[in-house]
Amino acid sequence: MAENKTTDRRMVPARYDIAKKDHGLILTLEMPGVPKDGLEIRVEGDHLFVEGKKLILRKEGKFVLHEIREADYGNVFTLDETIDRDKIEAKMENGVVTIDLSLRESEKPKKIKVIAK
Amino acid sequence: MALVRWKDRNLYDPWEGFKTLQDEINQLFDVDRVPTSRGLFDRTMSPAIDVIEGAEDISVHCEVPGITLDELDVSIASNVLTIKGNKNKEGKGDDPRYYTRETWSGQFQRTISLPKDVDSEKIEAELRNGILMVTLPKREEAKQKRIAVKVK
Repeated sequence: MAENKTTDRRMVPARYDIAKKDHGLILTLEMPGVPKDGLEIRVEGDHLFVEGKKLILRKEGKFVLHEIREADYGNVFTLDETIDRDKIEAKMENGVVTIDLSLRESEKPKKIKVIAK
Repeated sequence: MALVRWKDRNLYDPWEGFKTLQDEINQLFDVDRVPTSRGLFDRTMSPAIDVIEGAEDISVHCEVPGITLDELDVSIASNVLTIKGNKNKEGKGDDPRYYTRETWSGQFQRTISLPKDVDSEKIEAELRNGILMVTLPKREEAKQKRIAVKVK
């Protein structure tokens, strides 16, 4: 039953959200059909690559409706110098990838106490 | 798209118009982006669906990223399969500020009329990696029977 073609599938960008948090950014990508081991996240220089290989489980038969694209996901983001490269965390749940990008400690806003004398 | 520092809008950039035009044209080729609503009465969002008719059963696959089991509602009534759900982002922590927001949230629904020969008692549904897979077996009498032809 399991059929998985991994050879030379087209890559399309996944839909994503970028949300601002106090500690940095949260990047959420929708990659339905990508299992945990099909996901590859890497940082090369200033680029963050998020690639997901879709696992297509399909039975033999003819298509009555065919809307799900047979393509893998691939997104590239540019990281600026404020993001801490060593503190990137990712998790995957129900086909959604959540990547936690923290700001460098030196970039975080600091409160300065004002002392009235 | 890139995660780069926000441009200072107070500074006038004569080339900015061309840059946004280029971005907009590039986005046109990312066909997958916009969720569509199909049909006159399907006003809610409709996730992509595959329907495959095999010899033994019909399988329906539906892309539902980020949806948990209790947010999904799959039902069948007189050979019409309905996949309903509520993709709710609110309530999961405080609502943050978004720089980019391409994913959608809210209610969605897909209805599919099935051929008459589906056995509605034996339907199985499975949620895996953000894809809902519903297997609808055909009735015994509807299955194609192979008749062995003997050559004499």
